[in-house]
Amino acid sequence: MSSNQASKLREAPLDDLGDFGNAPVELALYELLSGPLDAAALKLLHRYQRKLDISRKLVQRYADDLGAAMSEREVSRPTYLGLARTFAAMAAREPGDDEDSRARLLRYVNSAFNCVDKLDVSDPYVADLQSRLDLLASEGVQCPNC
Amino acid sequence: MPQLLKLTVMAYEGPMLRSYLGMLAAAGYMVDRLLLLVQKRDPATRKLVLPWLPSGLRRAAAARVQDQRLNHWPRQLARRYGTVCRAWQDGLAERFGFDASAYRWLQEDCAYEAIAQSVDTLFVDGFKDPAMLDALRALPARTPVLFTGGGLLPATVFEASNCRFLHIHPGLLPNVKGADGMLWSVLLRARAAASAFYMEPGLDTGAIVRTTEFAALPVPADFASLDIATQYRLFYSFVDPMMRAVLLRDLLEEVAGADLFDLPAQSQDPSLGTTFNFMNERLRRLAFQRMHELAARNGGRG
Repeated sequence: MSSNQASKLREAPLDDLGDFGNAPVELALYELLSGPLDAAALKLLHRYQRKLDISRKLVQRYADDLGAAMSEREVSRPTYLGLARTFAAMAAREPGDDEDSRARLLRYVNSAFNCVDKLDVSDPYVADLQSRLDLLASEGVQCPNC
Repeated sequence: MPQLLKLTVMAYEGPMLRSYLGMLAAAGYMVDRLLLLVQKRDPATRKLVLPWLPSGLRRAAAARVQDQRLNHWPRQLARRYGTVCRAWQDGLAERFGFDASAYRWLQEDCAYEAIAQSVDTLFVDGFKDPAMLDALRALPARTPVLFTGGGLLPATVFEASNCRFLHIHPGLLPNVKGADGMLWSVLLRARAAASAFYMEPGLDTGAIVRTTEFAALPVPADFASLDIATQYRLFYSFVDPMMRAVLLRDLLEEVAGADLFDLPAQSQDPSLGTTFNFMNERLRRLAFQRMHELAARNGGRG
């Protein structure tokens, strides 16, 4: 895949990233990332984000209410990729014009990097994503009043 | 003659406890009580330590395991990277005005009795262990407890209403809550920071007693030659804990003689700030780079 193709994949439908899989968390995340991120969806996404950032992975099944891990198997690569792409898009949406916005931007970038760690960076799409995240991170640390 | 503080220090072994004790000793203080928490579980494997042993032997074994696990990196790094460790220590001591002997506590065996009038060991299985609440309730009325071990305690601990828990968070509150706060403060505000607050059930949410954004840290030039994992370990062995100890020292100087149970404190607005999680390695790299840049911009390196 060329880097041009990788850039096109940036906005491609979720299915183009590959098969998420049929485990409960994979199905839940596929549904979450396919639809509009309204307030309820965003709240749920943030819970998965926290889970990911604390344990540096997501597994295929959790106890009710996203409690204890009930599986040792991690979610599929397309699931991590879909999440990374979503976090990157949310970071990019932050204007970064005040500290709170830069904080949110950096937190999303951090989560996206945690997903990228699970992926093969020799894949041009992942490399493209990583470059975008590096750029976003450098924007997020620009502190005009410091 | 050291000045006796009416303060209980409650902590697991590790660089944070050692930094507090080293700084207090270097600044000429003693505390009236140290409550040393010994985990029944191995901090690395989370398995009970030698559960078949009699209690006394088990406690000694667990204390030994805990010391080896939690003080491993300061000792190991000082052995392997002595030059850069010393450069950090001397630079921080000079810039923030403390005796570098404070660092000895991080690398050598610790004589707790030299810094605390009484030393009690509490053998517990986590913060929810009933023995913990019992021990806290047995403390005198209006006991200020300096706590290390994270910005979150289970609600049950706060049932010990005779105690008030003071915690020093690495990061500027209320802006930066959660893990890796000092690194997030560097990325977000271009300054390392720390904040003292009275703990409440909630992560880093209690009333703020004092915050400090520090002058640029004196980053040794050869720190950058270490890999990121080593930089991170070194930062959490010698830099982050000692900067929090600097804030403690400054606070004690500022409120000299005041009742540490009831210092003036400002409630936090829960809508303010961001709670961060542990920083990804790629952002850590950026944070350390920024520290170098700030050190260079603010009068050179340590």
